[in-house]
Amino acid sequence: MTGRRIGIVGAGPAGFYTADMLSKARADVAVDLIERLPFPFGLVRYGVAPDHPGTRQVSQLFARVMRRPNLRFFGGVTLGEQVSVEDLRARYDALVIATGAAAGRKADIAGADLATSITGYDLARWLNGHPDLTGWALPARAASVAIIGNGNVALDIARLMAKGPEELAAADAAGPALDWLAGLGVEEIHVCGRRGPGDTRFTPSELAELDRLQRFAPWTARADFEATGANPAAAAVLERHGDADLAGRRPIRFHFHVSPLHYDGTVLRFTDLRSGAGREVRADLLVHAVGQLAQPPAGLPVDPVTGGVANQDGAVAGMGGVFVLGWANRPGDGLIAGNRQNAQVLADRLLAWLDAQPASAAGGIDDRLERLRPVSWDDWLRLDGLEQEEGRRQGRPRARFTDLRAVDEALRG
Amino acid sequence: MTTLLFVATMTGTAEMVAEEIVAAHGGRHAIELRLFEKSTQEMLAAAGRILVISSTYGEGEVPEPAVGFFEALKAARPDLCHMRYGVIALGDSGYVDTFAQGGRLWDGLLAECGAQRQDDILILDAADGSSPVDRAVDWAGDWLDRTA
Repeated sequence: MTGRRIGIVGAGPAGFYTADMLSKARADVAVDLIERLPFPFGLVRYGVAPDHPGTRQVSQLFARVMRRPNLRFFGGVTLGEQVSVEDLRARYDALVIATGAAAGRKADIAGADLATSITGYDLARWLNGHPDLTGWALPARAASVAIIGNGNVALDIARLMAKGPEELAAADAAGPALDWLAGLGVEEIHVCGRRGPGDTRFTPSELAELDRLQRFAPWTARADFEATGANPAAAAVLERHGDADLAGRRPIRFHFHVSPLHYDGTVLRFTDLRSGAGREVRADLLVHAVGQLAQPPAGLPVDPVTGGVANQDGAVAGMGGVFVLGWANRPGDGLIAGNRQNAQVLADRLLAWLDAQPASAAGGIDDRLERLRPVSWDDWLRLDGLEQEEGRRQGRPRARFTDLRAVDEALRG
Repeated sequence: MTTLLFVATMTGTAEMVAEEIVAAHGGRHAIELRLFEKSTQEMLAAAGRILVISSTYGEGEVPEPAVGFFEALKAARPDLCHMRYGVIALGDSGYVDTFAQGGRLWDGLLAECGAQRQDDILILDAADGSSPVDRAVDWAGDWLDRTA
C-alpha cells in the first residue's frame, strides 16, 4: 500500500495514539493530525489537574511520534468551520474523528444555568488557560463551594479549591486562574452525590491527597456508613474521616445518598435519598462533575443515546472510511491510557478496510494551506519554548498562551 | 548472551524508554525488547539476563496488560537462580504511598524466584519534569557495561 494518507481530527490522546499505531504499522502511510487549537495534546494539556504534573508526562511520548517522517501537524484548523467533513473525505483515504468532548454535563436542576453554576470540565480548562475560557467572568469571591460528583474529577476540584497559593506556587496553571483561586476566600467545600461511600468511584490514592492539605481536611458523617458497596477501598478511606476532629482546618464535607434539587445562586438544596428529607448547603459556587458531552462537529451523525458520533465498532455510520475514537465516541469513558489499546484495535480495523480500497491520490489539506495558515509542529515547538521560557521567569513549568492573537503575534514575530 | 528488556506499560512510556535503550545501546550489546503482555513464562525463564522496565498503575500495581503474566509467574514460582536482572521503575511521586511500586513488585517476585538483582532499582519520577528517556538510556548503558 503506497501513497495513502490518513487524516486524524483532534490531537489529544486518542488522536496521538492512533497516529502512533498507524505509523508504526505502516511506514508508507502518511498521517496528518488536524487540531482546532494551535496547541496539541488535548486534555493532557487542558484536562489534567495543574497539581498532577506526572500525568502530563505522556505528552513526551506523543511528541516523539511527531519525529517520524510521515507525520504532520496542522493546528488552528477547525472541523465544521474552516473545513467540512466532506472537504476532508475528499482529501484523505481515511479519516479518524478524535475530537473528544466539547463540554461538561450538568445535573438537571433549576438554577443549573446560573453564572455561578459551572462544570468541572470548564473549570479544569480555565485553570489550564484554555483560550476558549479567557476572560471568563467567574465570581471573585466564593466562601462556599459545592461540588456534585462521585468520581476523581470531583476530588480534583475539591483539592484545588482547598489549596492556598503557597500550595500551588509551582503548579503548571494559568496565571489569571491562579490569581482567581488565591482571591476566592473558600471556607467550606461540599462534595455531594447520589451514591453511598462504598459505591463512589473515588480511588484511595486520590482520597489520600486530601489528607495532605494544609488548610482543609476531609469530613464524613459516621451515619452515612452502612453496607459496603463495589468500592470498599474508598469506603474505608472515607470512614476514617467519620465525625473527624478537624483540628482547626476547614472541612471538605462529603454528603452521600443525596440528589440535587435546586440551586438559587447561594444555596444548593438536595434530597436525602434514604429519608426523603430535604437538606441544603451554602454554595456561592456550584461545580458539576458529572461527566462530559461530546457535541461532535457539524456534518457527523450523532448517536442519540451517548451523544457521541454514531458508529459501529468505530466505523462511523453511513460514512465509509470515517472512523471515530475516544470521547467523541463515548464521552467521559476511560482514562488517558485506555486510548492506547483502543487505538491499536482501531488502527488494525482501519488498515484492513484501507487495504481493500482502490488506490487513490489523496493530497491532504495541502491545497488549502495558504488559506488556512495552519500552525505546524515546528511552530508548536517554538510556542512550547516560549511558554517554558516565560514560565521560568515566573517560577513555574510554563506560562501558557491564553489568547490566540498573542499566539499569532508570537509566530509571526 | 542476549539481554531481554521486559516491558510492562500503561501509557506506552515504559515501552518508549525500552525502545530508546535498544536504539542507543543495541550496537554494542545484544539486547531485545519484549512486552510482558506478548510473552510467555518460558521466554522469561530461559533468559540469563533481563532488564525489567515497568510503570505503576492504579493503587500501586503492575500495568494492567502485564497483570496476567505477573499473576501466572507468582503462582508458578519457577526457579530463576540462573538469572541476573535489573529494574527500571517508572512512577509518579504524586502517588506518595505507592510511588514506583510496579517496578518494585517485579523486583520482589523475581527475587523470590531466586534471581539476582544487579545494581539498585532505577526510579524514574514522572512528576519531576525530566525526560525519562535520557536518564534511562544513560543508566542502562552503564548497567549493561557493568553487568556484562
